This record gives sequence, C-alpha cells and structure tokens, in this order.
Amino acid sequence: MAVATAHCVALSGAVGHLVDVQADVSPGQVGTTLVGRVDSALNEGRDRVRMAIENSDLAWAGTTKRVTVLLSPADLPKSGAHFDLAIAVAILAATGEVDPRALESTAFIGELALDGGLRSVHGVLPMVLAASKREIQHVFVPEPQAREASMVPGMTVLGLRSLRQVVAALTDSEVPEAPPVPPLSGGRFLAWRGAERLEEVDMADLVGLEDAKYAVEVAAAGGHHMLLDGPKGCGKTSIAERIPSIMPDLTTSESVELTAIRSLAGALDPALGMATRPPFSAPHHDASKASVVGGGSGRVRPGLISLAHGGVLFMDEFPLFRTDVIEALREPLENGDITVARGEEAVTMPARSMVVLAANPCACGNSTGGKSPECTCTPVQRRDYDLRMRGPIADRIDVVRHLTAARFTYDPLVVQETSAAVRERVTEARRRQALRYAEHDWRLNGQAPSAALRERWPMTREAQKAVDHEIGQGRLSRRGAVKVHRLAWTVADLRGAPIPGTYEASVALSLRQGHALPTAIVSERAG
Amino acid sequence: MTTTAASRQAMGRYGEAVAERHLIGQGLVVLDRNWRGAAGEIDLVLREGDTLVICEVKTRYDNAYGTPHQAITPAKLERLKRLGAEWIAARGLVPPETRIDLVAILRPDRGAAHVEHVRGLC
Repeated sequence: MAVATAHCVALSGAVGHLVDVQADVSPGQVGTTLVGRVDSALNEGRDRVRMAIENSDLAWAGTTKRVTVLLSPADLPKSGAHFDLAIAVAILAATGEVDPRALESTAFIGELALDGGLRSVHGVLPMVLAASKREIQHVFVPEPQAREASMVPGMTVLGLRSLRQVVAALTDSEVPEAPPVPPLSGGRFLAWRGAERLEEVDMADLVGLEDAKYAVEVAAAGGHHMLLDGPKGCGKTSIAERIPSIMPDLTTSESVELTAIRSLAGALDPALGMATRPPFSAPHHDASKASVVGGGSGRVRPGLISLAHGGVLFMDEFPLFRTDVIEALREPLENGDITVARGEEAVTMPARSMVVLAANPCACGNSTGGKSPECTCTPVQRRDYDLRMRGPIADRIDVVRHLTAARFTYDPLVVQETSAAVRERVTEARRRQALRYAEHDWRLNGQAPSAALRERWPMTREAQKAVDHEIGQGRLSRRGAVKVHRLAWTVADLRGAPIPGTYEASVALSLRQGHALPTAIVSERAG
Repeated sequence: MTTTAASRQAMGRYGEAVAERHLIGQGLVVLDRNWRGAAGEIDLVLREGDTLVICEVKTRYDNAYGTPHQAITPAKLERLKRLGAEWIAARGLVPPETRIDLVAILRPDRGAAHVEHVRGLC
C-alpha cells in the first residue's frame, strides 16, 4: 500500500489546526494532484516539491506513477507555502524512501526552494503551539526558526536547512551539509523601531504632571482606557509611552498570545525569546483599517491593536484618525479580541490592550482651552473636531485627563518616583483584583461587567449616594456611573482599601469627569 | 543514435511483440492486434476475465524525453477511449467492463528489457 501521512498545521489567524497530509502513489495516468481546499500558493507547491525532490537526488515518483496528495480535514481552507515540507515527506514515505513510521507524532513545517533548500515561513510559533495540543511531540522547522518553535514546552525541535537533511534525520543517516537558510527579514527591522528606546524610558524622567501620573497609574492598575488631552508639548506622548514601564510583566497566557501574534506578523526576533514585557504600539493617524485591526489582501495579518495585546495602544491625534478605523476599534475595546471577516473565513485574534487616546484641544493644536486667541481653527473645523471627540470610542473611555502646558520650576531636591516603584503598586493592585475575580473570566476592574459589580462588589452606601447625586444633577450618565464604579475599585485596590468608600468614589468621579484630583494625592506624590 | 522511420517502426514492432508475450504470460487473451480505426490504431485488444482491455504499448531506449507513462497525455487517453468504442461497435460485442492499460518497455543498449504493465489508466 503506497499511502503515507505526514502532519502539518493550517493557520487561520492565530488559531492553528492540525492537518494530515496524505500522499498516495499508485499506477495510473501520471500527474500530481493536490486536493483539500488549497489556495494558489499551496497548489504551486506541487512544482516546488517535485523539483526539490529531484534536485535533492531523491526518487520522484511522479514520472511513472499517479501522485495524489490530500490535505485533511478537507473542508478547512488551507493557505501558505509552509505545507511543502510535509507534502514532500509524505510522498517520499509513500514510495518507501522514508519509513512511514518515522512520521508519527511529528509535524513538518517549511517552504521548499527548487534546489531542495528549506525557507522560513510566518507563524511558526502558533503552528507549533497548535501541534503540541494535538499530541505532536517532534517538529521539523527551517533552521532560523528552531528557537521560535522551541518556545513551546515539551516539544522536540529539529531546525534543518534542506530536504536532504530532513530525509537523513528521518532515516538515521549522516546529515549532509547545506547552505544556511536566510531568516525572515521583518524581525530586526520592527524590533529596531523603538522597542529598545522604550526600555530606557522611566516615569522619573517626567517632572511635574503628578495629576496625570496618578491617573495613568490607576488606568494601568485596573486596565482602564484613557484619554489625554492638552495643547502641544504638554507631555501627552511622553506619559503614554511610559505606561508599559509601570505595568507588571505579562501573564503566561498573554505572553504566549503576544509572541504568537508577533510570529504571525513576521515581527518576532527569536533572539529575544518569549515576549515578557507589555508592548507599546502607536499607529499613525493616517493608518488604514487593515493595519490597525488586521487584515490585508491574501493572508490575514495581525493589526497593531493585536501587536499591543497585553500592553498599550496609543493613538496620538485621535480625532484625526479615519472614521472606519475608529468604528473598527469598538469590538476589541468591548471583547478583547478582533474578528476579521472574509469571504470564506472569519479570523479571530487576541487584542486586549489598554487604549490611550491623545488629542489636542482643537484641530490646529494652538488652543489652550476656551476662546483662545492663538487658535486658527474655523468654527466648522472646531465643530467637526468636537464631534469626533464624542464618537463611539470616547464612550468607552474610563479616565479623562486634561493636561496643561506644565508650569513648574525644576527643584533638584525633589526625587521623582521611578517606574519600578509605581510598578510595584500596580502589581499589588492587580494581584488583589486577580484574587477577587479568580473564579471569573475577567482579570481587571476595567473589564468587569456592570451587573457583577452591582450585585457582588458594590461600593459603600455613602459612596453610591455620592455617585447617584452626580447622576441626579445631570453631570454623569448611567454608563458613566458604571465606569466610576470600576475606577473606584481600582483606586481602592491601589490604596489597599477593602471596599470603595466616599474617598475612592470622589477620586473616581474626578478621573472620569476630567476634574482636578484632590490636592492630597498630587502633593503626596510630588514628595 | 540516429533513428529512421524504419528503425522506429522496427522498435515499435519489437515492443509490441514483447508486450504481447508478457500479457499472455499474465493470462490475458489477445483478441486483436494493430487494429486500425478512424481515430488511429489500437496496439493490442485483449480480454482479462470479463474485462475488455485496450492496451497501448510504449517502447523507449531511455527516459531522456520523459517516461513512457508521461507520453500518455489526456488527449491520447481520450483517443484510446474513442477507438475502444469503435472496436466494440465494429465487433458487435457488449463487454461488461472496459479498461485502458499501458505496457511500458524500457530497452537499454545491453541487458534485458524492462517491462511494466500499468492496469487501469482509466
């Protein structure tokens, strides 16, 4: 019987499905067919595999036999050139060049070049992750991607350079020399774009802005989305890019998810290993919808919102973003993941990040609030701008901070608090939340559903009364009251209070409504 | 090696003779050979049990221009099917099953010829 099966993984978004690559070599009209919903890049693999086998001095069965390759499950759409290696190995096993038993519980991932060399592919980490969940214990990958694959615990990884080397490894013979495989290009370039610079920044670099620093601390502790507004040069960007530095390390699942997303985007530098620190991503306001939420033609690429998973998505000049981008952000802000729907498939990728919006007070950026003489905006411009500020995303913002151009004098005696010190408080507050919500799906106050908060974790009676009073006065909407409730819990968690009281509620109200914080908080922090 | 029309024909006849011997050895019964129809020629018509076998014979010195298997193109297969139908009509037979086979013969410069019988191209 000339049938053999090798394993590979099909990706849809960040989700991998184990695929059996079955090759049948039997007498009949000569030719090679590939069946099982393959896309064109994969179908071209017939020619790559044939030439790779012939040029590796191995016997290509297709000259005298009929070769049928089935990729099953047959109804799952499959795309990408990474199936080449599995197809080649399955055919070689069907003709007896390789013992079919050597392919058991082993996955083969890699594209083949015509000379039989292996080529790197995108998304090795999520593929290997999926394979490990389906009792695959060994995986063959292109050499530069062995490190990436070995991030999956319990997996034996073999990184090789050519089809001949793979066959040699499967038949326990001497592995021949082969030229090295070039790595994917993307990685270094993206890593270079500022990730290293962001490791250096620290909250202690910022003098003054105590009010905003506290707001950021609360937002980071409870996973609240926030809006910073203020004139040019008041420090919106400086504060936002320091938020990751006060966030604790990623949880294990966040770390795996983020690394998998980076692998899909081709932005994974294997030298750095698993992602451990919260990411920061800052799309430009001209960015297309596909680049922010994911998509693109052909393969679905993760967007910047997924690359910010577990960290901060910073949208500077938020009102200038395109409307379709802003609309598309509603779903990830609500659910923590993003679904890109296509003709035949819907791809879901994780996208739970803390969104920080920044905006100038007006389109020209010169206004300092109110009727400012420096502002050159026309009334129409000002109206459009205000409309955008009140759009669907602004609705999902918990913390609002108005920054003013800092008026302070540098006092060398004042020691600024470092990010590490703030991070400790944030970590502790998050630990308290994790404990409280242990039996639920959400981890942070910012994600807690309002019904659960109302029933199980209310504020004190007096605190609730203060919030209700604001509603009665028309200064707070119902939706806003829920946000205040969540914020009050985060303020309590940061102080170590067992339940939010009137103090926490008043701080939360100020944070939500963009009012100045109690001077005690500001002066206590300024030292 | 230079080939002429005569040498190619001689080669074809040689191959057909080898194929016929091989198939008889396999228990097939020859019904007709080199039968000419409107669409061309059938090399061998045989019977194996209840099945009518239309057989094409391909002979090669080497595989430099592709294997004999690769010479059976979809168009060639189509022609063989039509010829088969013609033969059946001409003889007034109603075989329960019909199939098309290939005998591929590789005849190296020295040593024995290599004969491969591929059953059921369609």
